[in-house]
Amino acid sequence: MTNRSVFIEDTFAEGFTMRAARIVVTAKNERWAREAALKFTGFATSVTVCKCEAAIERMLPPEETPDARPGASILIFSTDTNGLGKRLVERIGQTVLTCPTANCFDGLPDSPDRVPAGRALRVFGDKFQISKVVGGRRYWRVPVMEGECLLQESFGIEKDGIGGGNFLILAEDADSALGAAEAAVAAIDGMPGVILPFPGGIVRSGSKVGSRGYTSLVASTNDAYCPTLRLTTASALPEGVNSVLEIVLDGLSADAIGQAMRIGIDAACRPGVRAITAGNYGGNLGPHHFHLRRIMAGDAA
Amino acid sequence: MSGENGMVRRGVRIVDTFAEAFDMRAARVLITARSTAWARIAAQAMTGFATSVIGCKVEAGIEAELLAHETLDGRPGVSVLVFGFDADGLGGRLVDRVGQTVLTCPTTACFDGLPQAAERVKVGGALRHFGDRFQSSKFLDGRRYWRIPVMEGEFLVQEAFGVQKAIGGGNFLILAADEDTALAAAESAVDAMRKVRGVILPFPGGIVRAGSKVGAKTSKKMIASTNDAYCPTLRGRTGVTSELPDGVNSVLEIVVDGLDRPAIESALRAGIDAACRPGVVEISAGNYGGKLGKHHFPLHALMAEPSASG
Repeated sequence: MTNRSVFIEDTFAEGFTMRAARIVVTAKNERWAREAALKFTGFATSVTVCKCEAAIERMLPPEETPDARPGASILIFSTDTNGLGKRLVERIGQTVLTCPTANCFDGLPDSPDRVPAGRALRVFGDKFQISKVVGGRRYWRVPVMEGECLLQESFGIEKDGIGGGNFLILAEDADSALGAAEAAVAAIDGMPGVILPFPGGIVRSGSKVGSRGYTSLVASTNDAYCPTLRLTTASALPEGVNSVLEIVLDGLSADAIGQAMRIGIDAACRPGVRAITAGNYGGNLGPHHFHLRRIMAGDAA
Repeated sequence: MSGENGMVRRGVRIVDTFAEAFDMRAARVLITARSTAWARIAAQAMTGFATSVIGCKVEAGIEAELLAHETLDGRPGVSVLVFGFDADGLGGRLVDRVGQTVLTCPTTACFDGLPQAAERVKVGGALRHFGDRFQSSKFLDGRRYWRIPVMEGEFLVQEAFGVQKAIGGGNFLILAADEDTALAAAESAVDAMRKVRGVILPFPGGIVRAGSKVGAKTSKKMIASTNDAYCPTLRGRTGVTSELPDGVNSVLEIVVDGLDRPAIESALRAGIDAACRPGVVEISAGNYGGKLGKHHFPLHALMAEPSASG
């Protein structure tokens, strides 16, 4: 299979079940919503080291937010509900409670599984906080020096979130790889239900499980895809490929990830790109398999 | 405490008090990339969730953007300062954060920005293991660098990073007539302070609205809770001794961490000066009576000297 003369490998991305929450941060203007969201989603690239994966899903116009102000929708993923609840308390407490003009709302109101992040943070108010129930949902007004921070009491959890959707862009040189990856990120940006947790949406340091050199290492460089190691290892790189970048996607559903992969891969099929492939562990570790050719043929994931 | 012969700057009272700050350890991480945009993306990811050392294990922020001729590899860059309690902990956090947000980021390289510091922690020396023995090292001018193979090409990272004594928790408070005025004054303070080298403002957009007091009135377990004396919505509430003068209805704080005392002083001076705008009633500062932190920044002494920005 080829897409605009870029070879699509017959392989699949292997994704894992994760827990996800959607946080809606609003502020006086888009700039301050983004400041809070950038701090919230920083150092949240891989769950192994950062304990969560997070990024801005999209910016929201005032008519789409609960308090009719500009906002940012953030998706955050972790391995279990309890841990995700703790990460919400930490990150909302450090980066939204502290941020000028920001309020914080649940973006998964229909989810029956909930974590009480706002309830935990209300105690910062030292019993001066006040709660309001509006439309069956409880909100906390926590007094701060600026005025008040409005926090929703509980946040919905999607138990069938998926982490680790991915595809790899195999290009002739570093500039072509980056140009294609940037085009893929721009195409996926704003699509509902998915985030790209790595810096600028792109990963250059793909890894393999374990290590040949150090027994204690859980992951090490994916030498088969490193162009500088072509002659020193069993390379998986076709002739003419000299740079590879990866897009990693976390999503609220397999469908959201599949759609974003299709749009992103299509955008990445540009001159200078030789092939698109994907990362998996043989299919035995993750229950979600995203077959590139099925996705590009328009089949559901 | 301002007294009858209190200090006034452009109609804004400067309270006769001091900011109380603490000993910390700091590292300076220089991230270069193919473009300023990519260096900034890595730096933003690296400095996220790094507002308070108690909640995030580090405090970090962008110190400055660097032109190509200011960096080791002749590419545009961003300088990040990272603060922790001690050198060991800081080293571990650097490995975590550089590994997650710079190693992974397209086109970046990562260098030590405190080459004169005697105390050094391994960063590249730990991250090199990711190369799975395919990494190679180069020794240039007495410093070791690691070339770690990645899918894009190579990641160049310095073996060891300098760590120096530093100061965290410099601060001042902007007491204003309303929220809009407080925010505009704080924004202009941030703009002025970001021109000062050797400091960072670790909170979102450089500003904190959730000032805290030590402990809580209602719980013995809590280490910090809202600074009710400075909360405008709590003025007049039972159990609250408000510190807010008449006419103050919103307060914002700027917290500044710095490599040394002169850097924090320059930043405080520039920031306070910029914050003295119409609608701001008073500038104050946060302290714990002077017994917890050994660095005191008295506002009157600071503002008696001319601002570096003129």
